[in-house]
Amino acid sequence: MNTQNSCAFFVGTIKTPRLCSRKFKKAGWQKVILSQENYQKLCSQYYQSHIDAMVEAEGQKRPRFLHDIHHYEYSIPESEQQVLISGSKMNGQSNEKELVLLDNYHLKIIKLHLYLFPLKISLFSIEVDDSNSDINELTQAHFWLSSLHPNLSSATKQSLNTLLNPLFVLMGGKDVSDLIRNGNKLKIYQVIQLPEENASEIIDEDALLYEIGTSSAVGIVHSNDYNAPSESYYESIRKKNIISTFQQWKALALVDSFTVMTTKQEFNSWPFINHYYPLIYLRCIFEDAFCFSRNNVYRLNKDNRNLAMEINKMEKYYFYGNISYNFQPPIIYETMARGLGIAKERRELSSQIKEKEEKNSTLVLATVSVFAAFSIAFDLYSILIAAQGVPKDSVPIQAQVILVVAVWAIIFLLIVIISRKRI
Amino acid sequence: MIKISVSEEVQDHLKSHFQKGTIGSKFIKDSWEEVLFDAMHLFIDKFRQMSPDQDGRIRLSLCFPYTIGYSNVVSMEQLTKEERESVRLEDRNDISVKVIDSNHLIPTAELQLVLSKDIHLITMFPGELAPPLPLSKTEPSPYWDNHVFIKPI
Repeated sequence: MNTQNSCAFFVGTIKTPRLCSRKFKKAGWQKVILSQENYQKLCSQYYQSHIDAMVEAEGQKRPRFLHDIHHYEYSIPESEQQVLISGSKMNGQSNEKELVLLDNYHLKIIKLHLYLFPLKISLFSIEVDDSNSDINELTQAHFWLSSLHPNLSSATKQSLNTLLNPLFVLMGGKDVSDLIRNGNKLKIYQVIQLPEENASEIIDEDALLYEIGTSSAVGIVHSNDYNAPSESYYESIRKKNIISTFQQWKALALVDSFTVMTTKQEFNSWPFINHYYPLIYLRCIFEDAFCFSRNNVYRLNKDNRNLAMEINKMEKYYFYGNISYNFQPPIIYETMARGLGIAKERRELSSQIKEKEEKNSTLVLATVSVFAAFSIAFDLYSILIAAQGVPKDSVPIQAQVILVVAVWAIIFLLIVIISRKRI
Repeated sequence: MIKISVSEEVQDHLKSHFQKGTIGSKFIKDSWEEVLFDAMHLFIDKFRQMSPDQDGRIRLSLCFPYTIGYSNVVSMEQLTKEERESVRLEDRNDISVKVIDSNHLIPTAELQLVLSKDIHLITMFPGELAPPLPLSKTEPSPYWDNHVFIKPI
């Protein structure tokens, strides 16, 4: 079965390039700025705060935190867009190798995108059109492309390296393998329209959606293949991660992908490609990248003094789900966020803040204790002097003893503070 | 999907076309996979349309737009008188083959592929189509009687 229309965005993180607009333009990138008219149309559907946090619009003033948001795109000339995908596979049982050319997978790389977000977090995406492709070859291709797999043939890698060179120029890489900074794969946002006349051939739509979403071989869910998912895992994914607000489409949200699938001729893919991808999916990826990077700094035992301020800003501009006047976008946002596991990363960020607050409280208490120690030492001294009826300006030995005790107490407290801080 | 399987045995055999010390045709590229993938990309229609000959084997002769290797096999007629006099016999896979030491490498853009009918690669080599070496010293082979391997000096 071939797809009727299918497209995908392969999304990854990139180190924020230190270039001005003029240099981007010189390198062939075009800045994408929304016209006021389109901006107003978007604001009639989505909250203005959400739009301001995602796009740059003509003449629109934004809060300072959102000044760094920019979108650049690089269009690949039509004559150069096509890429043949081939790669090798090992036969699990022997050392036999299979060389595979996906001659029924029709890939066109249309555009490259660069999205600059606040806090020096940037994303890139590779926009592809793979319409009229065999669905089984499509999932194989997506598996290889999302991980820029080492088994991709040198011929394919060479073609990809040439087409993706504008990205390498920005990030300083040379090879497709340089594109994956964190983890081992790019995330896929894909919209797949299958011909309505083939709908009856699909025995289990949810299973097919799972197979496309996980870039697995078609038919694997209900097979005894080594790579088939367990029934319990598949059922849990099916129940929690598949959404469908209208009969004509359903979508699956996973950590590595968001897949929309339909078999209806009248399906309109426009909002999925032009709204839900740039305005919702990218927002989720940015939030995820923020949470992951800050949690990672903490786990690597490095300090981020600005964390509290950063979380404060993210709470204000991004960490909320009601983004639209319409019902569907918040549902999609929630589902995407659930698939990516953002809530878990946010909880771990919160526990970092709690730990910092506890440390600060300890420090305050310790400081107060030091002064209290001085105060106690002085009071003890005064009491002893008064008890012995000795004038205050004499008895140096007792004063010395008290002073020694006080100094000892202060030193002891300092040791406790320093050792706690080191922990 | 075009799929070509290559057994471990054939993978080992193909190494001889990349090792510099052994006689026989040699590829320029570093690995047989690169050569085969290049062929599949450039001649996709030929791979789509391949079908077995009468003996059940599939043979593809592909002419690349660039040199892919050195055939290192010449016919006796192509040699000079002095070169013919210096031809000697050497053992290759327990068979005596005619060999000549020479710097005269013969570049080639031709690739020969031989596959089984279930699309398993049997062999591939640069140069013109040649029959396989005889299996024993007594097996007649008019082609190999009249052709010589060039061993680069």
